[in-house]
Amino acid sequence: MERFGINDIFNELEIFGDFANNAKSTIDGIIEDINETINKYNESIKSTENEITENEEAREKCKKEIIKMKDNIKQIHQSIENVQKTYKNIVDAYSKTSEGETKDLYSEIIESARINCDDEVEKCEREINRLEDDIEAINNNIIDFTNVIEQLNSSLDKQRIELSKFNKGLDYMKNQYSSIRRDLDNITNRKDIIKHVTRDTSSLTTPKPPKEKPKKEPKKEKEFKEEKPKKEEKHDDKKNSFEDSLKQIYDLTGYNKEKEKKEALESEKHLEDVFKSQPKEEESKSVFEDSSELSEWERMLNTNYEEEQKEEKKDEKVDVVNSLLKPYGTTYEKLKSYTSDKIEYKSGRSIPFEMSVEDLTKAVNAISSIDLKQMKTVGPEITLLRKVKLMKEGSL
Amino acid sequence: MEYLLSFGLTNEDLEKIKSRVDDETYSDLTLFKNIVIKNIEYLKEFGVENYTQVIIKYPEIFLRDEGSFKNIFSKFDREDLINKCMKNVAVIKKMVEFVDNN
Repeated sequence: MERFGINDIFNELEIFGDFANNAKSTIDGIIEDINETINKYNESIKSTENEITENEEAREKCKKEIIKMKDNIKQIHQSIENVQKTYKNIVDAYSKTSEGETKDLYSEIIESARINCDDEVEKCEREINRLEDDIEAINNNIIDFTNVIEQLNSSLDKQRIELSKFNKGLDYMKNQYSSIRRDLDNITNRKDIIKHVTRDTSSLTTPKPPKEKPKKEPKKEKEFKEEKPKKEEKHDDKKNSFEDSLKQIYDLTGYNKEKEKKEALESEKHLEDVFKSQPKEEESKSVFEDSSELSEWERMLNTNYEEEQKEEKKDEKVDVVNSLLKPYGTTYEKLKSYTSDKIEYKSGRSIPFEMSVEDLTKAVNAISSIDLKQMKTVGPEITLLRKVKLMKEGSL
Repeated sequence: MEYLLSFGLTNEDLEKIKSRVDDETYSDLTLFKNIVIKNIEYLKEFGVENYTQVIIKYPEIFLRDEGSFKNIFSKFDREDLINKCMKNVAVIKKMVEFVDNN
């Protein structure tokens, strides 16, 4: 009977103990859930705050852009004023002076300035209109950003309220749970005291001795010494005696150097005497009494016939081209004097230029109505020269 | 175009001219240098003190016959033209265009 009663108490203790453990884990789970929710709210609040900051920055940028655009508009207005002022100055400067051709020229300048001024003003006004449209669009963007920021702020407030509710709930749960937990712990402890008599003890651990680091031996550097090979000096002891050898050869052949020299001098002297004894040439008498006649003959004798013929032909050609150029009031020589000996191009390339009579003749013969029109404005000489240049370049 | 250096232009000015004109005008300026020289000398004698500015800005106007070039200047009031040119060299270009078109 007695034994059976103890078993009942143990069963009851078991039931209470299980209940206490279940209650603890349930409450722990609830607290964990609340913490998770709080974390989620914190994250959501952080992201909403970031979003608000981004929108606020974008709105600030828009505001700055509008300020810039307004400054631009001011500058454009200033430009319009300047253009109009310049035009007024031109009108003042050119309308007072001169007569005839000068007056016509100045009228043209004033008219051209007016057209420029009108164009510039129109351009500026178009730019102002464009900027004003842009400002309006950006203002709309600012309104949109402001609305989004307001919505985000309101959402943020709501989230914060919810968060504070959960925080309060969590505090309440923690407070309540601390007293409940004590009771539950008492129940489980009592059960454990009755049930268990002995307790396990934890094992001891001995710390391992620290490993000794292997000592590194310093590397020994080997020193090498190079030995230079010794050079052996050679000496040439032989000496040539050229003079001695030559003397030996003379002795063998029976040649006498002094005697040879003497004979050569005598022979030279003999030849001089022979030439001295010859009669002198008579001075030539000139057959030309007139010196100009002589120079003409000299010229004729010295000049190559073919070259002269060529010169004559060239002169004829020059005469022909000059007669062709006469209506244009110029000559071949004059045109030639205007040109350089090379044409240079922007690329740095340069080609030699030589205008022949034939080139000019070709150019004169190829004059077109366009050339004649050109001649009226810039003149015939440069028009002809340009034509020669184009022909030489292969453009015509 | 180095001959323009003798009129007081700098190498930098020559580069400016090179960048402003087309290839044909550039080659004309190198080939017909004696025409250009005569016209520049006339402009100088005429009294245009800032003639180098005219060369730099409108080198193509010097590519015309000496007679044709002088004719342009003979049509206008000398003193007034010089004054205007001192203020703005563009007046020379306008003047040339005016004569060519009328």
